[in-house]
Amino acid sequence: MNRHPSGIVVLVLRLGFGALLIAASVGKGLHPLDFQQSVDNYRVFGPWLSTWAAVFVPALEMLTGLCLVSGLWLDAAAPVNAALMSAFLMLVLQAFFRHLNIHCGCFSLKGEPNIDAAKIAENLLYAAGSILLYVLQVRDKKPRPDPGNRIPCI
Amino acid sequence: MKTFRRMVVLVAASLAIGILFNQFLDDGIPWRLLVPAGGRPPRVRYMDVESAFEASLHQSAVFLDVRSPSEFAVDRIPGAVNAPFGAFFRHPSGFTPADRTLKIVVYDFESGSRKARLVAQWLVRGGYSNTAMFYPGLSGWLETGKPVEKGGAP
Repeated sequence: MNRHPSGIVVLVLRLGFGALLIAASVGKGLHPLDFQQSVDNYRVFGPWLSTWAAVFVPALEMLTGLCLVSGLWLDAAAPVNAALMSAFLMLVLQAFFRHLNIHCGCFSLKGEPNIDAAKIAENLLYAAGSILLYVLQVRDKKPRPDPGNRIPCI
Repeated sequence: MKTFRRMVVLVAASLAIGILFNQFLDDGIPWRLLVPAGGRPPRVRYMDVESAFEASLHQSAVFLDVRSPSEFAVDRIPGAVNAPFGAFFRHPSGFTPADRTLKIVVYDFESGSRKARLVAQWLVRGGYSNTAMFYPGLSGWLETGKPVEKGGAP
């Protein structure tokens, strides 16, 4: 099999993001009220939308994570992953610039440090990595000319 | 188009799984909280330890404990009724007195509990205007050395 060099990068990224999403979804899914409070603390959504987010986001993270790890529906999971990571980055950024003294609520819902420059750098890295995964996955999907079928030059 | 369709399925499945999962989780977000109630959440009065102790001593209020039955069995405010959060929202009428003028005090273990607040808000919205939240929670009650009841539900 003629594996494209980006194949290894895609594999590492999708396994990494898959594990990250699954790990992040467990705590949020088992303690949805705590997660709802975390979402509410960002002061972007009202209490009602925060409640819906607390129900929906952990399940979306879990399903997307499972797709990334298993490689099933990668074409759909990669953009959803990129959208999730970009949304998290936006939320953290706006909280930082609005000087909201809140926990990220990204993984553990209690005992996490407040949002600071390190947390923004971490989220920036996740967003960049997820977009890279999406771009590489789209590029790898495009059919390439088979070198065996080339018409020989006369 | 296929990718977009898969993304829609992923999002819809997450929504369905999230809603279903929360109905079976003891501390999950019940569907009643997902329906917009309209307007701002009602204000809930707070009660401190001494007022709660007085009310407990004179049996002038119904104490609702929103913790799980196993936690309730360990220790509780004397005379309290167990109304586990999830069970309460599944069948609110099973835990509320017919007389809406009765004084109801809702509490959890932690101080400022979100679960206790949501139950208290639900009761106020339902016409139980004499509802208060015992803000310090059972932890505050224990810290001040107030008596507790132990063992199976009375």
